[in-house]
Amino acid sequence: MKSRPMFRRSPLVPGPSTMTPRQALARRSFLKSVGSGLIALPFVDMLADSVARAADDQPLKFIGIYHPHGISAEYWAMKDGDTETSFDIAYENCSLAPFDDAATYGKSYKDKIIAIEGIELLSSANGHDTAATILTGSRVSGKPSNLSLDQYLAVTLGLGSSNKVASAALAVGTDGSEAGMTLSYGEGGAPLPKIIDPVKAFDLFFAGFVIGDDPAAAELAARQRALGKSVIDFLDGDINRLRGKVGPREQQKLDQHLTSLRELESNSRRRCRRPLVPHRTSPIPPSSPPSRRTMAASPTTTSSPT
Amino acid sequence: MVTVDGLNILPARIRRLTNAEYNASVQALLGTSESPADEFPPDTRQHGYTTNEAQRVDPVLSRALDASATALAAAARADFDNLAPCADATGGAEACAQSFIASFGEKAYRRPLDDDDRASLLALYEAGAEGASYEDGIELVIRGILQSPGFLYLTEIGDGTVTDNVATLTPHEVASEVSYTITGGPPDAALLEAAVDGTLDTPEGVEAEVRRLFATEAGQTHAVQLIREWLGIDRIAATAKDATIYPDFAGVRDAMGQETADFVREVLKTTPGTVADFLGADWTVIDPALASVYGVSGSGRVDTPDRIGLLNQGAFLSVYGHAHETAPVLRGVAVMRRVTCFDIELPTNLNVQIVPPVPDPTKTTRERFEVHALDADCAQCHRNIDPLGFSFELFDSMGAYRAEEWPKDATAGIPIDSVVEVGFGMDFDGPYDDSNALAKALAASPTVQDCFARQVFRSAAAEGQSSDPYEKSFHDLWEAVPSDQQGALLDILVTYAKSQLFTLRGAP
Repeated sequence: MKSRPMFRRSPLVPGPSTMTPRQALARRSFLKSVGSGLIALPFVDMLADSVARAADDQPLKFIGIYHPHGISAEYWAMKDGDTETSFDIAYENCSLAPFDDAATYGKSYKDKIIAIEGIELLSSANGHDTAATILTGSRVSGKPSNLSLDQYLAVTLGLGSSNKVASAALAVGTDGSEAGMTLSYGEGGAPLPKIIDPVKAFDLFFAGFVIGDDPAAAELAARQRALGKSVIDFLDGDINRLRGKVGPREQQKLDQHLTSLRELESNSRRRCRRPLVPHRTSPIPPSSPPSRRTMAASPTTTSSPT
Repeated sequence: MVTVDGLNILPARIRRLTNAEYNASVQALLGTSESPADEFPPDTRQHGYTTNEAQRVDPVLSRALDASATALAAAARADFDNLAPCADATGGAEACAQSFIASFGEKAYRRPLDDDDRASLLALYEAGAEGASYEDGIELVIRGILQSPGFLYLTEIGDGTVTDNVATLTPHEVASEVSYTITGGPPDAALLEAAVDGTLDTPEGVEAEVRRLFATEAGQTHAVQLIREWLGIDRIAATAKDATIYPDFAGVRDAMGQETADFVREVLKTTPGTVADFLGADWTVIDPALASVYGVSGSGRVDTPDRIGLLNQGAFLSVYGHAHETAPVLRGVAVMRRVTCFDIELPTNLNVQIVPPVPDPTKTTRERFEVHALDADCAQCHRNIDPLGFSFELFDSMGAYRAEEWPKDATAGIPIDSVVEVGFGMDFDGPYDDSNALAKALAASPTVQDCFARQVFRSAAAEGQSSDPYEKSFHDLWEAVPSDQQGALLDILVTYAKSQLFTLRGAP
């Protein structure tokens, strides 16, 4: 066969050396502005604004949202005349319209948005599994090779340590953790489990909180915290004794276990009021049909690349 | 790499219990019928198997473990009269606690306790009982034990003695290894007795225990799980189809999973239990609903000359089927990877970056997938994969028989073409009328028998990612046993369990 008109061959994924000068420049200036604090750029203004608000308001949060299967680009992508900081998202059926809807949400958040477009993921994976690259920056061979940005911030840098829950991966749809199905990865690119059940997500954030100001309930909660601390101290000692008997590869498993316990411990230290428990109306089926919107890590791809 | 007598010895290691192993372990320990791990995050898999070195305790699991341990310990209070009796819970509480720790702790850790174990557990008891009751202390000890490394991890590290970089597993470690490998649960009393009296110090002693446990209910259940994970068909429980195209699927999905279990048990009961028996049987065990989908009269054990072996049963055909149409590629790849151990790379790893043409809905499934042959890059793999998959076209995406297909706009059904020519250098290369003929050839293939032994080893040795050198050593041992002991699942497990690969570990 001389020609293959049925096939459109996409360009090979460009490596760093094949990046066009314009791409390279855009990327460099972006990194430079973040790294050196060139406050002329709006992105840095936004960061400064966030930090200022965090100081007197709430802790900083990092949220990554992934929308598998996507939305047709005409409903969100930049249009002719748009720039990274000046754009229209109020047009009919725009998927970003809620961010510019003061009538419903009290104010517009449009000036908090910065659009970044045209980033080559360089994942070497197929379109679905490329999700694993988004927060890891890693090539994907079954899984990425390093942890994801959310885990770096929350665990490695410890920015989540003052929160009851340092980090969480929530999703709608399946709880699969293959490369195309989650954004969140621990050390070595190990996929982190996701929560797909809203009641479990509620428990994660609020279980153990005291309801109301009942002194008996508060006393009980204090005892529960003390018992939880005793268990964690016990586990900590036992794991460290086993750690001394095994080699480096196995020590890494136990180190991860110890890290998880520290998170459990910070969990048990909190005392806050608990909101009302949500009412479950129907069970979550183990394999609900593919659904779309996911937070901080997730997706659902059911069709396999064939 | 540590070698002994030319064998590559697995490294000293610890392995976290899988979810199924956790359930079996708490049930044996507490007599509960609960399966708390069904609520845990799903197991990590390597080579398709849940037993592997990648199982970790991450923050989500540690919370789930704590919640499970707390609930189980609270529920156990109702049984404290048996579990932690104490005649004098006021004056003699501490003595009672020590006695409980000694018996319960040893059972939970599957080994004798040392002084550190006893001291840390007693401290935990005191924390729970202080300002409260004896029962409160015992409850906290149970809560701690159920999350402790002694309970959660299987250790293969020996007693600390190392000779020429080699550690020999302790008899209790061997007992746990035998038990979790064969039954997926902790050692029973007879196996612990064999650990203590020296029986497990000899290959013959290990073999006897392996054969005894394999025949138990737990052993048979675990064999079903091994076969399911081998073919990836345990995923039937999470398989879904488009209900507008396959309205009957949801009603028989569970029956398909049950068919696998009943069929595997029947194979083990009535045949030698070789891969030929699993892949070549011309019968199955089904309920009436599934019989109607299969177009078979009767239920229970029925003859199915047009549905040969596991590969032509509902679970395999449905798991490897898309929601709306058959999946010749998934079926072909599953046969290659799982049944023949022929590794094929993902397109992305081969740097094949092709946007496939939009499928033409007026063509049959086979015609649409045959466009693979038109592109040289695609064809390099798909000429091997697709014929295997096309042979299954007589079965739709939920495994029901179909003689014809109705593509869009068709005015008449188009007869299914399941005739293929397999040819990628295998001992079963050749022409086949359909997947039943193919299954019979696979059942008789030495390559497939060889692959089955490797797969059983991958599951049993639980090494996962870097199993190659160990697998090679196991394969050397397996090739050396008499040919009539190479095929059966139980014999393959015995070959591993009797070997030095089973009882020796490279020092950390």
